[in-house]
Amino acid sequence: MHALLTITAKDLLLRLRDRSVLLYAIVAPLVLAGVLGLVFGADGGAPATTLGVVPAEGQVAERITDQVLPGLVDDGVLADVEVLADRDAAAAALRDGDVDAALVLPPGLDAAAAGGPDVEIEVLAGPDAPIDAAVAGALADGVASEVDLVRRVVLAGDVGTAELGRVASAASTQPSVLALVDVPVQARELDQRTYLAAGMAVFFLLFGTGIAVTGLLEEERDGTMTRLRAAPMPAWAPLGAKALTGFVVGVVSLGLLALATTFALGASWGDPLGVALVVTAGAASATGVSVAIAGLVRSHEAAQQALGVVGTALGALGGAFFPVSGDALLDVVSRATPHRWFLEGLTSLSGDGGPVDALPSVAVMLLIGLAAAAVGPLGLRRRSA
Amino acid sequence: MDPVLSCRGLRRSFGERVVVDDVGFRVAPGETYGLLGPNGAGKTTTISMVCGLLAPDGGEVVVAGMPMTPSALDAKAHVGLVPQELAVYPDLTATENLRFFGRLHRLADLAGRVEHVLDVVGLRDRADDRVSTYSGGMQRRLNIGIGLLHQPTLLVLDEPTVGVDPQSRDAILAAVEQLADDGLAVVYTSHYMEEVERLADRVGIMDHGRLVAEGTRRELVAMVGEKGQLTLTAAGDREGAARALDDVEGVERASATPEGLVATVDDASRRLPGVLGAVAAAGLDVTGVEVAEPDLEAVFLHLTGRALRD
Repeated sequence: MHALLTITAKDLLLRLRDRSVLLYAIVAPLVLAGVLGLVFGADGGAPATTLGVVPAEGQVAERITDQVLPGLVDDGVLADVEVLADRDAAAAALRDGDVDAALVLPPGLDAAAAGGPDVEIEVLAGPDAPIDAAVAGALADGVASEVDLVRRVVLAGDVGTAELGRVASAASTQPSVLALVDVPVQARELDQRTYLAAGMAVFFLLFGTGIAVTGLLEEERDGTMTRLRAAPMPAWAPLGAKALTGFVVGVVSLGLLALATTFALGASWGDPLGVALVVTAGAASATGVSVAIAGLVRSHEAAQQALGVVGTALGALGGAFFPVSGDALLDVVSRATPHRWFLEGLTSLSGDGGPVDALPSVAVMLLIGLAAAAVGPLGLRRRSA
Repeated sequence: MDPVLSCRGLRRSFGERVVVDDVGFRVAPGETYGLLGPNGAGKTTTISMVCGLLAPDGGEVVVAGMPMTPSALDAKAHVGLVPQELAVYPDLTATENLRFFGRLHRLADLAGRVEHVLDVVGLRDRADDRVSTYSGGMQRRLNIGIGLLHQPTLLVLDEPTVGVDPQSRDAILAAVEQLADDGLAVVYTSHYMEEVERLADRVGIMDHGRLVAEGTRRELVAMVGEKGQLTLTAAGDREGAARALDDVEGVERASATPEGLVATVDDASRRLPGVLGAVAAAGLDVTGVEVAEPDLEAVFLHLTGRALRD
């Protein structure tokens, strides 16, 4: 243990002096998270969409225009709502940038709710504002769902058209018959700013731990490993010290990035104890992968190249840049990366998630780290034989 | 006196290639043992087994009475290794390098030992500068200093002067001489014949993984019967003086040259007075004498048919 700590202290001093770890583990992810935040317009979740609405006659349409949409402004979902005269006025307002998207409510909503012919709600949005279009589309879906719900109530009972507004209002306030036990998925998603910060942090994590651990090959190249192996200490001490150095670098870099992105970029990483667990497991898994690389390659130069290739591949597959979704095979591959589980762990902490919710991700990361780390000593033994 | 180092029947292969084959030697306290041989002769592999870096496939190494293996920590504590490479951290200062290795050896008086070694290797003035700013010779001196730090009973130097300027080389050799005088057992490997001749009390000559000869310099030279060469700068009857030397004991042959004469002599230094007396009697006025003793280079050539630097 004495030799382990002595070598670790020396390695940490060297890593601080050569600044490579500082660059890869702190500066680069922080800068990239900030830059990507600017590029993708992550502004911390403040409502950005000003919605135009073209009203229509009838109780349902009036409820949407006068109650639902202003309520969404009050709730912080929309920045503002602007009532427009007709479709042409809505298109003009969109073109002039007065609104970000618009809903055109059709005449005949009441009739549709009473079992009459179907109507269409038109959504207007610019092609360069996909988020605003998505917000407006989601609102249109909501209106359609409410109309559909009222229609079912009307058709099932003896409700006159004069009471459509009351029914609609009452229906929307009733709890759902089927309640999900779990918190809705929407509540457990990282906001864009936090996702970028966490993604960049975990992407660069392997480079930071890797530089520290593959210092083992640097020592072999420069001859200092010969001297370490001649010293009266256990044979495992040099590799153990490199792994401990990598782990410390990983924990410190992730911790500093969590703090920096929280205060500088407005990221929200979640419950501190849960974050500590995820950060610790993430650093352990990256250290394990780094030990595997140090054991499998034959030179320090090859290790640097391997770190670049493996780090980029695992980062992309693990969703460090964009969430991985769609293809089932890709999803399986993604779940073999520590990056994916790091982000899943943080996602489980969002909303009202706590440390317990992150434990599955923490366990998987530790398993990945242990499995990878087991490869390293085998390669080292083969090399020194 | 019990030897500090005893090697017996050492053998080591890498795959099918036998790198060290049946090597054995002993080194006593205060003795400097030179391992001489060309690159690839097996010197570094032998040293690696002596220091516990490699386990031998056969034979044994005993240091200070303890068997040496890669896990023999007590035996390792007795050995100071100066590797062929510059095994120092260039981004640390000399003091930081020494403190680090001193901590690994758990030295009780770490600060005192660091100060002492800095004095021994002459780096006190630059002790707090990063090693990357040192000259090659200074880095070599620090490399040696780290090997001395924990006061080993056996110092192993593996080609410690490779790439060093003549001035630094002389300082390093002088330091090694002093350490041996102080009672340290030293194993010194080199393919520089003149270094081994200067330092070593006994020499082992390695070639193709085997110890082909061992002994003092004189014993080795006598073993192969190499002759020395006397070169006289002289005026007078050079031909007559050369003929006169044919009758002098130990002179194998002599011949006149434009500057004087050259004679091949058995044990040239010892025969020099007799040679000078004979040529003076023959009327030669000698103004200069050069004695070229047979050297280990010649011994190596005789034993292996190859030059040391081949």
